[in-house]
Amino acid sequence: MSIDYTEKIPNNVDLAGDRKLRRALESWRPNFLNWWKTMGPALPCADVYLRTAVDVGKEGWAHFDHVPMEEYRWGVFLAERNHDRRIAFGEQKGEPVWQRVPGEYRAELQRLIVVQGDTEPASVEQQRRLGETAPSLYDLRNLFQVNVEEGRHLWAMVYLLHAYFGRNGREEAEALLRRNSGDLDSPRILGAFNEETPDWLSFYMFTYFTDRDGKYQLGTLEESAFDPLSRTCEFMLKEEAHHMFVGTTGIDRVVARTAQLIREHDTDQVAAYGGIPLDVIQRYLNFHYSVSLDLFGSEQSTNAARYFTAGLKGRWQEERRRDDHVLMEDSAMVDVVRDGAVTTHEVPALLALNHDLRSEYISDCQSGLKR
Amino acid sequence: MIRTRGDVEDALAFERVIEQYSGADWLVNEIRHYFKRTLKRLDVTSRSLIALIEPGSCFAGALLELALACDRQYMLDGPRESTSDNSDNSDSSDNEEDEPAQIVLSASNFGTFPMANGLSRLGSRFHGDDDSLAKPRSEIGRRIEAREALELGLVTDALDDIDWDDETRITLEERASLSPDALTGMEANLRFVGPETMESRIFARLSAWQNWIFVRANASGPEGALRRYGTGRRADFDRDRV
Repeated sequence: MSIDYTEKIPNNVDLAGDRKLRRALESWRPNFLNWWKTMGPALPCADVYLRTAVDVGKEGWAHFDHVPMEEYRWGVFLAERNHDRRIAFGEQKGEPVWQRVPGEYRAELQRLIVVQGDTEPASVEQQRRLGETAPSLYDLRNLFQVNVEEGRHLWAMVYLLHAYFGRNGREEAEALLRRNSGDLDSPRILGAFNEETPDWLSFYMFTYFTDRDGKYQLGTLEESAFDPLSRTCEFMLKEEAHHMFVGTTGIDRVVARTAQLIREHDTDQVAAYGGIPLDVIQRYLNFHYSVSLDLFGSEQSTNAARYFTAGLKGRWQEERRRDDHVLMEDSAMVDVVRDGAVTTHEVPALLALNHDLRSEYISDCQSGLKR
Repeated sequence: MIRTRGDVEDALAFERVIEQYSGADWLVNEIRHYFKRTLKRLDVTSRSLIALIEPGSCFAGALLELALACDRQYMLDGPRESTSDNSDNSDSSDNEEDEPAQIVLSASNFGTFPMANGLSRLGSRFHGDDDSLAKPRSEIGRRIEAREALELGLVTDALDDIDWDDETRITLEERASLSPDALTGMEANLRFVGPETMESRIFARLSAWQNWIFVRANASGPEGALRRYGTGRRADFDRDRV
């Protein structure tokens, strides 16, 4: 279905035909705009050259133009529906995917969506003041692009809460705007999203490491048997790719400049020449890598096991893996600390799913580091 | 699920007839006892009971006892708007559904149909809380709408028409996914509060636990909840009820 831009809220979910949903989203919208004004980018600016999603298909989905940021058309976009899609894993493997929330899994699904949704506005809050110190116009534009898209990802999650989780979902959607990054009384749910992003190197590290965690979490939710969640995440992943690109190229440029200065002046004390010393970069990297690893949860998790068995959250690229996708009999090795030393320990594969995802993430990060 | 349909005034009128003649006429007296026993059967059922109080329903007086015998009561707040989205050509046909759902209390709700524990259903609901029990007593005969019913503690929740379908569906599905035996045990505890009578010793929570928890394998069997706990696998429950 194509995106309807004539509506107040652009969408490809037939908002016009759904009185309930329209009422819910339209009453949430002013709160979002208010939040954007008070917690969004602090730098005043007229209009910014931004990418706006206009379609979800393969033939191009974005459109670039100058838009004042407050008038950015945040909307609700889901990837195309595959009518034959079936559950790819867990106890209900092979059955048709769900188009609405089964009561049995309401609480779990809502929790997964709230936690994911909580991270999106959090990063906008963390990056609120970065615009004031942007190293170049190019970077400023990237920052704003990342910000408006994180804002749109919040819309995507709020859409799910409003459309499928009833009154409870609406309350959770309100709460997503009430929690604030780093707030002592009502912080964001996950630790990494309460850390400060005070400078641009942190921003690059954040988009490299923490957004990459986002990519993996979205990837597992994309496998979900709850089809609307899967389609939402599929489209969000498209936008997320650019965020990681910002991180990769940002770190690239910083490291290249440092290397260049080291060569020119034959010293690794490059701070005096306007470069960032390698050991400082290393420290940034250590910090952001560690807080991002924490986002994967504990290596052995019965929650992750339940999510998998129930079909709520799969593994990274579940459908490309060659195993039974049920994992009742399999086992996996995880690292544990025993008597002060790190050893490995065999556990049922179902309990080690967080570990599995984290390993995928780590190998992805490693390939970046090598470069 | 328990629903009613009919006119509130009719329900109250029948009730007045029963009340007036049950001392004198054996048949009317039998009908009253029969209704009392029907309600008692609901109290001891091993199924979760949910009352849906919608526009056009007649939960009034003795029939309100049906809702009070349930574990949960959901009441539609406000009128039910047309589900199709054509607000421009609103049909102005006024039928009974245009009026919001209402419940009416009568003297029957305060001891005419006692439970096995000797208390009225409202008495069980507000056991040990005389103030909360006194409030509905002062509302006898008045038509009570959803918000007020919620404030008085007479219903579990008051949902507007936007939420009604989803919330009731999810509530039912959520409940159906839990261990039916555990629910039966829990519900028997909640239904029969307070004093133990000879009748409640035989029929109420003790026999519910005996029949549905102690002798069944849903918790401790090989596929039971305790064995499966922490494995990431779902317990298999025996859902047969009789």
